Amino acid sequence: MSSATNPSSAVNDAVQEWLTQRVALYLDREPADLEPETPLQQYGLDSVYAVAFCGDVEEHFGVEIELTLAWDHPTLAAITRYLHGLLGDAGPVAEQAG
Amino acid sequence: MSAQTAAGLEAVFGPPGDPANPFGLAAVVRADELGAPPPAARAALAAFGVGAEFVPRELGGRFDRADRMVRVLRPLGRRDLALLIGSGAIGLIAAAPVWVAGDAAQRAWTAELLLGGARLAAAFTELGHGSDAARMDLRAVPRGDGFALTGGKQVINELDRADACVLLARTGTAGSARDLSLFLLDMAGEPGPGTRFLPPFPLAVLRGSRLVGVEFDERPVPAGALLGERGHALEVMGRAFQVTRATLPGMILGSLDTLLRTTVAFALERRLYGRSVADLPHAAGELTGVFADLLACDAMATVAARSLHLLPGETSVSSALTKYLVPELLQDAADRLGAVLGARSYLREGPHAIFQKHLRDLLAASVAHTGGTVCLASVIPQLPALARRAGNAGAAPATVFRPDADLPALPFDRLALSARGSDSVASLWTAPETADLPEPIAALHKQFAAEAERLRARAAALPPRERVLTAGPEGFAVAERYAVLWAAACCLGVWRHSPDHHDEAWAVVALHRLAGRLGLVTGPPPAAHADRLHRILLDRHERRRSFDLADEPLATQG
Repeated sequence: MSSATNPSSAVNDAVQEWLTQRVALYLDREPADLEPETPLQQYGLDSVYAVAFCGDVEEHFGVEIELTLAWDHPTLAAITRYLHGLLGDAGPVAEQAG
Repeated sequence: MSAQTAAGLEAVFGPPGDPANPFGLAAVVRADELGAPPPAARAALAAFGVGAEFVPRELGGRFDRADRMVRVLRPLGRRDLALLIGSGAIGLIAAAPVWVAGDAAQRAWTAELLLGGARLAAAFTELGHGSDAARMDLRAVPRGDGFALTGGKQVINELDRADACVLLARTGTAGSARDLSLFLLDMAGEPGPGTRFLPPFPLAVLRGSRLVGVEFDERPVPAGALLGERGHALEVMGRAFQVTRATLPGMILGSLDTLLRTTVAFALERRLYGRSVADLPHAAGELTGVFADLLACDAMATVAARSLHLLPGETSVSSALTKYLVPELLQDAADRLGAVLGARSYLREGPHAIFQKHLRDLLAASVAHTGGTVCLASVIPQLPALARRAGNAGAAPATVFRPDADLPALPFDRLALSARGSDSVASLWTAPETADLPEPIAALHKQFAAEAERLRARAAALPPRERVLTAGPEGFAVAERYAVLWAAACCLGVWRHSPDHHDEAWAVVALHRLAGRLGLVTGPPPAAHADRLHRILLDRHERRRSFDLADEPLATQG
C-alpha cells in the first residue's frame, strides 16, 4: 500500500504513512485515495473526529498534543510536519496552516 | 443563601394552584392558548433580576455556583418551559461564549446588559444545517476594518427584540474547521442597515416563545465585534456549550415536578375498583418510578453542574451525557404519567390542562439549544480513550456529589474540548469498594461494575469509522449505555454523600430502574423500598414540597 500519490508534495515517511492509514480507517477508504495536501474535511471528516484521531495520535506516538491539532493542520502533510517538529526528528518544524 | 434565593423565584410567581394568580398554572395554560408568555411575567423576572444569575460574581452578578443557578431557575421550569428558555436560560446560552472567549470590554458590556435586564439572543441556528455547525452558510466577509454579514439565521429566540446577540458566521473558505467565527453584535434600536427580520415561526410547542428569522445583506460589523479569535468558533462553542449542556437539563426537570404533581393529584381523587388510583399497584408503581427518575435526573444535573467547577477537564463528556439522558428520562417519565392520567393528559381545559402544555413543551426542551442525539454523538469519539484509561483519573472528590457544599469559581478557561479518557465519576465502577454498601445497593453496584467492564471491551473494539459523528448503531449503543452507567454513578455518589444517607429508598429504586434500562435486572424494584418511596412521594405532595433533591416548599396561598 503506498501512502502518497502526489510526488510533488509528499513527505513519504513512516509518520505520514501511519497517519494516512489511520485516517483511511476513519473514512473507510483506501489509503492510496488520500492526497497529502487535500484538507481532510473535504473527504467528509468532521471537526469532531479530531478528538478521536488526536487520541490515536497521542497513544501511538506517546506525545501529548492539542486537541485542535487537526483543525490547525488540516491536511495529512501538515499534521506530518507538525508531528516531526514535536517528535524532534529530522522533519521540518511545525507550520501554521489555514 | 441557596435555599433562600430559590424560594425567591417561587415566591415571585406565587401559589401555582391559585386560579387567580397571574403566574399560576391556570394562567400559564391561558397564555399558552394565546401563544404568548403570561402577561407581566417578563417584568416580574426583570424585577427579580434573573439576568444576574448568569453573570459571574467577579463581574457583579450572582453566578458563583452552577448548581445553585440551576436550582434558582428550576421553579420557572415548574411553571412554564417557554418562559424558562425564552426569558431565562437564553441569557446564559448567549453569555457563555462571552465568558469563555470575550475580551474585557465584551465581558463588561455583556454583564452590564444582563444586570440591566436587557435581552440577549443567540444566533447559531440555520435550519438548513441543524447542529452541523461546521457547514453554516451565513458569511462575514472582511470590509474595511470590520466585516459585512450576508445570509440568514432561523428560529432564533427574540432576535428582533434583542439588545445584543452572539452570532456564528463563516469567515473562511479553506474548507477547514477554522472557517467559522463568533461575533458579539449590538442589536439595540432599529434593525440597522442590511438587516431584515422575518416574522415569528408559528409553533406547536413552547407557544409563548418568539422564534424569528433574519436576513442580512451586507450588514456592517465593526472589528471589535469579533468574539474570540477569528476562526475559533468551534472551539469557543465546544467550551461554552459545556456550561449550558450541564445546566439546562437541571432547570428543565422542574417540568416533570409539575407533570408528576398533576398526576398524583388526579390519582388521589380518582376512584376506580373501590379505591383511589394512587393505591392501585400499577399506578403506584408508575408514580413511584417517575419520582425516582426525577431524583436520578437531579443527581445527574447536580453532578454535571458541580463538575464544571471541580472537574473542568472532564465536562466535555459529563455535560453531553446529561443533556442527552436527562431529557430522555424526562420524556419517558412524562409518557408513563400520561398513561396514568388517561384522557386528561390531552385535555386543554380543566384542572389537569397544564399536563398537555408541559408534555408538549418537554419535546422541544430536549431539542432546544443542542439535541440529545448530537450530544450523544459527541461522546462517541471519546469512548475508546474512556475505555482505555478507565479508573486512571482516580475517584471524584466527594464535594462533586454534595449539592450544598462550597465551590471554587468556574474556570471557564480550563473547560477542555476532550476529557482525554478521564471520567472520575464513572471510576466508581472500576474501583469497587462495596464493603460499606447495604443490600440491595451492593448487588446493583456489582451489576453496574460488570456492565462497565463489558462496555469497555465494546468501546475498545469500535472500529475507527464507528468513532465519528456519523457512527452506526454500535457506536451509539455503547454511548447510550455509558450514559446510563454515568447516571447510576451520580445517584450512588449523591446518595452516599448526602446527610440522610441512611434513607436509601430513592437510591435503590432509581438504581434499580437504571439497571432495568440496561437489562441488568428484570421486574419491579424491591417492594419495601418502593413502598417507602411511595409514602415519601405522597407526603411531599401533601405538604406541597418539591419532588427534587432540594425538597423545598412550594408557594402556598394565604
